[in-house]
Amino acid sequence: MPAISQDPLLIRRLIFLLLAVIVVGTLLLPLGTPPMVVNQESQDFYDAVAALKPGDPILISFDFDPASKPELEPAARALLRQAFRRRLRVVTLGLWQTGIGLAAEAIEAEAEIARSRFPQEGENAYPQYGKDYVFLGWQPGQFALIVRLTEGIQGAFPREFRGAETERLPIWNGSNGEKVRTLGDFPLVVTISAGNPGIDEWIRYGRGKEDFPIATAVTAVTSPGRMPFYKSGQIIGLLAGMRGAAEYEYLLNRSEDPEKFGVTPPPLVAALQGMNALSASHFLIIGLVVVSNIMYFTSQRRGRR
Amino acid sequence: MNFLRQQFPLLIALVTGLVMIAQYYIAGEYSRDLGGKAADAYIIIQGIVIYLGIFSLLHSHIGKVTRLEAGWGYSIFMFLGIVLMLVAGFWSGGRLDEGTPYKWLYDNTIVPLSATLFSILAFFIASAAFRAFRARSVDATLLLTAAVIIMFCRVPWGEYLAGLISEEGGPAATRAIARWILEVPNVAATRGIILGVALGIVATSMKIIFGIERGYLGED
Amino acid sequence: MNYHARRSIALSCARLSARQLARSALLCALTWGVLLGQPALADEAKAPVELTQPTGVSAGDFPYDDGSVIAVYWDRMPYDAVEGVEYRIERAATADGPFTEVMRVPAGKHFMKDVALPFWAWSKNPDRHLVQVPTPTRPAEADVPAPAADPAAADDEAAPQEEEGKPDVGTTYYFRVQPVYGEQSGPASEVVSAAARSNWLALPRLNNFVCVVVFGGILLAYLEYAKRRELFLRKIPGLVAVDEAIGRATEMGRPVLYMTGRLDMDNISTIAATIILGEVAKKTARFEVDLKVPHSYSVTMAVCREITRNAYLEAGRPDIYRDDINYYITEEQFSYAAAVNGQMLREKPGAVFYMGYYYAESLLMAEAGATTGAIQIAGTDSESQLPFFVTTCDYTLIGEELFAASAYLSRRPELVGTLRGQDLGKLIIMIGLLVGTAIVTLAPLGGYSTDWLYDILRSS
Repeated sequence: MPAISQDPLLIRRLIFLLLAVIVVGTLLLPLGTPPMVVNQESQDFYDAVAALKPGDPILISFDFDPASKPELEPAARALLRQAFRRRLRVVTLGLWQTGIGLAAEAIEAEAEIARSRFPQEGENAYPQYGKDYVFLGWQPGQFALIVRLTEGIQGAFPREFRGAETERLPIWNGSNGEKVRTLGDFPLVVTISAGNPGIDEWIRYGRGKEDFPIATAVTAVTSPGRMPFYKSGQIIGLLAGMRGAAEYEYLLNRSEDPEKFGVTPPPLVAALQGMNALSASHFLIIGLVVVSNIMYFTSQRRGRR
Repeated sequence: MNFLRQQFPLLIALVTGLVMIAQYYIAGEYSRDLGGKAADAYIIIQGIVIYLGIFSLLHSHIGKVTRLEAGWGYSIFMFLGIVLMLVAGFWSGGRLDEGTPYKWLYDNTIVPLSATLFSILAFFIASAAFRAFRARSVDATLLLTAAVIIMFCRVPWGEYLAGLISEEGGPAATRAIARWILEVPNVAATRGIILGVALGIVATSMKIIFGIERGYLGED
Repeated sequence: MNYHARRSIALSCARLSARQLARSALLCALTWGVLLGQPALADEAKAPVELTQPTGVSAGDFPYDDGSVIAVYWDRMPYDAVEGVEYRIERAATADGPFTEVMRVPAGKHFMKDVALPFWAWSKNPDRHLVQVPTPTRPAEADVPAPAADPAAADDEAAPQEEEGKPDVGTTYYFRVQPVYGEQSGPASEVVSAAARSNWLALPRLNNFVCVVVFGGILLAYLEYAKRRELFLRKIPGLVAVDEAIGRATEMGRPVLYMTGRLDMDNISTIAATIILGEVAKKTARFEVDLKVPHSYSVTMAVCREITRNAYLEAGRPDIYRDDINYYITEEQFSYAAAVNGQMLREKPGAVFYMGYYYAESLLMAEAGATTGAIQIAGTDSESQLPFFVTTCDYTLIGEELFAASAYLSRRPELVGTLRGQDLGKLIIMIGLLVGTAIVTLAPLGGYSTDWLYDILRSS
């Protein structure tokens, strides 16, 4: 038996080194983006946003922190890109205080990209802060904040992130005179969710009190646990980890119409570029499992002799 | 004093629990207002608890430094970190705008440190997979087989390799297999766990509301 | 086709010979057919539809809400089948008007059967229209000041009154319904009136209420039953191993590390973890082995301090109790994991307990613990972390086994009784699943509807 297999610490360090080399290597090598096949749950997520009409309100909740940034920020950026492209009224907030910086940055970056597509003068200027999009910021309370949102959004967030009173903002007023007051007034709510509070709390405390369609982007490790909600229709779209974000980016890049706006923004590639590294690391772990089992059965056979 | 430590908290739990249960089954405006006010009260308490957490943190690390316990030097760094973020936060007016020191610290310390710590998980998963995914029994074999199939089928390289075997059928087959595992046994098992946990939550909530469960008060 | 065209064709046919007549007749027939098939060229408007006055119009408070909706009803009309017909719903503050349009809905839609309320709370009449008209808000919507275009300027205006924005309950409004088809308008219906009311009972939630009452009744019944008779509890391997783990830590002279999860005291799994801590603390007190309980939340820490102090008192060892058995680290997820990992690698505990709800840090801690050679026992209801605990820990309590653990360890009748009640609840759900699946599969074969079953199962 080779000495290496008798030293668990050494094996662990070799595994760590191998993983680091493979992931860094695939990120640095010019492999391009692999061809993407879109799963149904990601397609449903895209379709849910695409079904909204210009001027419809959408609520996006940034329920993640910097730890989940590589998996969830690409989905958040892609969602904002699609929402602004559809000329929706984008209401955003965050339930995780350490994620607020990421949320504010992503919203302004995508709003700036949207400004390059739409007129900036006259009544059709879009997007304008307070009228077409707003970032409400963060409030303590976690699940209680979601309950509060079912009673009244303006009461839950008396002031938005920049300090203005939310009650007086024009974003709540629709073209038909209807006013957005509670979660039930949104034709779509989306949560970019890394844990608690997240999609479970939105379903339990939000949809338990009011009926509204909800879609979500979650980390890959929690996505199998959210499949029952997707299969039962409680969630109408599900982006599973970086793979789901890559599929969503692929759908958005493919549906860009340069003739419609006269300008095409830089394509969304943050998650797509991670697909090679993701594939390589998966294959490494499969290899490790195979090697481990070979070593196990070999030692079993030797033990029996 | 005994009443305040024992019976009074139980009374609060009973009254609050029954009122909030009743609120769910009453449709009107006052019920809705009550629900909103209860949520507001919880939010206010949560806000206060943040300061409680900071106080506990400072208290525990001050004790470490004054008693010169093992690792007290790290506590100094913890204090430095708190002071630095406070100063940067006040200097920036509490705003996370581009160009402010607060935003700089956020972008260059919190974000990379948090992402790095989460990324360590990948290495631990690899070493755990090597150590634990062995076909010791039927259950373990099923576990590792499902894991290997999902890892292969849910990445683009897996679909590409399957496409080398059959150009259209390969990727479709990988998607179908992964989809079946995720939508049938996974959903069935997860639903079972969710249902069981939900019943446990309802039962424990009722026990707390009716004072049967008092462990949270520090009693037996 | 106009009169002159028809007359010309008729006169032309009259002047021809028989063969010519036959040929012409064929030509005429073809021409008539084409002309009759084409829309009138002179008039581009749609063919008029007979729009009669809507019948059976009534209005009333929409039930089971806070008065934010008034319902307007009317009968299904013959022109509901015509595409393009719409109904205009108008509202006024007085019976004489002026009426303003508040909603416009397409014909052939919006019936009582389309409302998502269960059958016991609502009549799903397929032949009665229903439109839910939002109640005006207080003060009346026309009086609300125009919202500020500049968010900064919004700050200068007075704060809105508490009553503003709420439905104007109790005020009577007047409604009428008018069919329209393009430019054509039919006669408006009679004027009807209604006032929104804030309702009391949320009858659609009756199914939920019945479940709560039944399940609560089962729990309380078993509670009483367990006080009189001893109920059987199967061995949960993870809990049986608690003694073994603590004994091993004692022999090795190493501490026991116990974690209560990553959520605060408001979470049920944290409560279960604190109850198990009480039992573990009694054993560590008896065996005189060091116990260390790092915390993420100060409230949980305070509760666990009380529990631990009482446990040491009960075990007769108050002399070795210390307050710093329970200590606070941080709320931050990975900072907590890093601190615990560091402690495990330095102090090499003999036994590690992971009880409660965990997130991504679970594998970080469990893998670090595995490298130290400690016996690891986990109990969590976090289904996404279960695979990690199962692969790295010696024993894992899955899902509600964690809640059962507090009953198993303490053997208190009230806890054992409710555990049996939970089991009966699960049995009822399992039977319900089988029966429901059979109904949903077989009913359509007999032409029966299963909407009533979905109403019973759905949360309103």
